[in-house]
Amino acid sequence: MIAILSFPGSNCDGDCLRALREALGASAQIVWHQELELPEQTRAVILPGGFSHGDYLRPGACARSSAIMPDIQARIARGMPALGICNGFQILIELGLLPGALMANASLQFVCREQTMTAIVEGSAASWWSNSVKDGESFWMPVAHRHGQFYASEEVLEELFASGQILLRYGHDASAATRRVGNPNGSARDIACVCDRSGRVVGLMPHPERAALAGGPRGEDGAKFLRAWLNMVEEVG
Amino acid sequence: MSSKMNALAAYRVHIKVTRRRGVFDPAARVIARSIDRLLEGEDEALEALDIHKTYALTLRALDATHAATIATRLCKDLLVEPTLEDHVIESVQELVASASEEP
Repeated sequence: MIAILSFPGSNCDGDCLRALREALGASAQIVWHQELELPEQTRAVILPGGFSHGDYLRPGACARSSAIMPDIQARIARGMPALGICNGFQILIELGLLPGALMANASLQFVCREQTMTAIVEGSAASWWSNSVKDGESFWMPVAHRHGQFYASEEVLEELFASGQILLRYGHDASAATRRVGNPNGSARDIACVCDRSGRVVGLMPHPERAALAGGPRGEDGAKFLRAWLNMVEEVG
Repeated sequence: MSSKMNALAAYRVHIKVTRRRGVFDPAARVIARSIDRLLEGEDEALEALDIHKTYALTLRALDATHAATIATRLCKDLLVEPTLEDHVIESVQELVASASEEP
């Protein structure tokens, strides 16, 4: 069972639940942040998008001290996979589980659009990614955020690329003439999706759950991403 | 109030949070441009602009050093984003209880 955390201000928990159940046939359940523990049968956790605790202080900062976090951190330390989407990505960074920081978009504007991304697979720290996706494969998913500009020092950026921790970059798809290419938020080196060294903790600003349902208006590239991640969850068991 | 709490005094701690050197601040850029427009044609010019945050905490602690230690821990654990921000504890001041608070 995949646990989908919900905080005051989360607004993508329901979308994640629907995508997992309807598009991917996975068992999933929403879990309130004030619970002290995840359900016993939890195999992985998704931190969904939204504006947890009103984004006060910094996006994701207040969520890190939620009652359920010690249990989640302990399970992740024991190898449980975690996926942070948008605000969930911000929370994983605040928890220190992913490197870097997410600051306000370079434009200072909320950006809401469909976005082309390119997979980086060669040398990936995430074997589940390289097992499911081809290098340079294009993904098309929505982005919707105001604090999505990934930032890290040059040394950290070099290390992230060298150790295969960058899974998706914005743009780089010249053939997709009708799709939005380019970098929507000013992220360093067009970074859209990062994982930790184990490949099991993953964060991304785009919303795969909004492009997951068969026949949906935004295509099914989100389902492709989530299916690959779920394959890893199955393997980790 | 417990006896432990009675042993503690109140301290007002001011913390200034600044952008780390070299980290671009888009909000500061926008404000600087607005100021530039205000000063256009004047015999004055904006040299630089930085945006800081200030936190004023009232903490119960054994002494000023203890209050500063607590504040530093809170900065590390929550108040400061270590990749983007630096902080400095600007002052720690003991608050004197008012007459109405005396036992």
